[in-house]
Amino acid sequence: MKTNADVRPWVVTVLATAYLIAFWAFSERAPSKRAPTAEARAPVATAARATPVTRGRIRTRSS
Amino acid sequence: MVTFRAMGTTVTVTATGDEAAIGFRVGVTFSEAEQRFSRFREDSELSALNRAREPFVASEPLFDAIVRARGYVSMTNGVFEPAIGAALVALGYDRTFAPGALDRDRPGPRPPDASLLDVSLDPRAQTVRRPENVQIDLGGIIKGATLDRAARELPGCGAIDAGGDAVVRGGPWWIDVEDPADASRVLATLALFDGAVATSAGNRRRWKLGASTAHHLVDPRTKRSATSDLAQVTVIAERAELADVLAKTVYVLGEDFGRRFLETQPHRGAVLVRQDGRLSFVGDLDVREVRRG
Repeated sequence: MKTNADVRPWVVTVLATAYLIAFWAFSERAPSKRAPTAEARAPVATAARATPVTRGRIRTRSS
Repeated sequence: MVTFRAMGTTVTVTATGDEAAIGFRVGVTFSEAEQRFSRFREDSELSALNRAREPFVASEPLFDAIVRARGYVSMTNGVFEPAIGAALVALGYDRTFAPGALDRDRPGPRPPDASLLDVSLDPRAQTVRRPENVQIDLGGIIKGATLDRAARELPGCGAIDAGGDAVVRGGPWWIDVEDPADASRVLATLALFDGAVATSAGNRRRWKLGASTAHHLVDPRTKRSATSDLAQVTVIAERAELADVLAKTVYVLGEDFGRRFLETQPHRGAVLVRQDGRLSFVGDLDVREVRRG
């Protein structure tokens, strides 16, 4: 018969793994709430979200 | 894809269906607008109005454009002001822009104050009475207005891009915001499904004025090219005309006042690029990518 000392490490490991998987899944899938509000000079923030195929590109500039 | 030149820029039409026919109709719309509203064509209706000394019977499109433009003057407290024709001429912008064509040694004398609100309109007779000191330049709204009008030709999915100002339908369309300091680079990419985008900056229509330079975004308060802490403003709105007006106004106002002004206006969002290259976003934009400056 297993003692508490035998079971606890497995429980902790399983729970920790589940937590990490859930955290990863949420952080990957959560939609961005709004546009960055301040200095958005982050190093290349690429959008990894699944999106419909774009219809095309428009390059906006002064003309 | 159908491409043609109009209003000093390249217009590109992309549409599902009979793209050639749609592109042709869009081209006709631009051609008619240019013929009517150009400040540089002697035979345009706007030029005739700017010469008229008596009440001028305007066509419905010109009369409506002046009415809307007056609304924008009030909305922006005079920061957007189409009665700056004389100021533009004094700075050298007296002909269609081309690199080097407007260069001059010194500006002309500063013209007297003028506002489109000084123009008298009679809606019943559709007449416009213009004070002598008011020279009207509708360049600030006509490209946007023409885009809005031409967008009626688009089917469920399509886009019209007039040199960086555009209307799109049935997206997502990717909107790449160009770096005003380096035209080969893109600063950010937005997604837009339906709507309009307009960008204002002083980096392209620029010419020598003695030892300094001038650009086409004139501050009506000084009658000189605006000295802004912003290098470029991109606005997303329902209509291209409104986006165009908001972009120009925010550019002239600068970042702090421009942000506050935008909070009071109907728009979806804006991308501001400061003179030092820093990028910031206003409102609800679907930002897909931001690149390092």
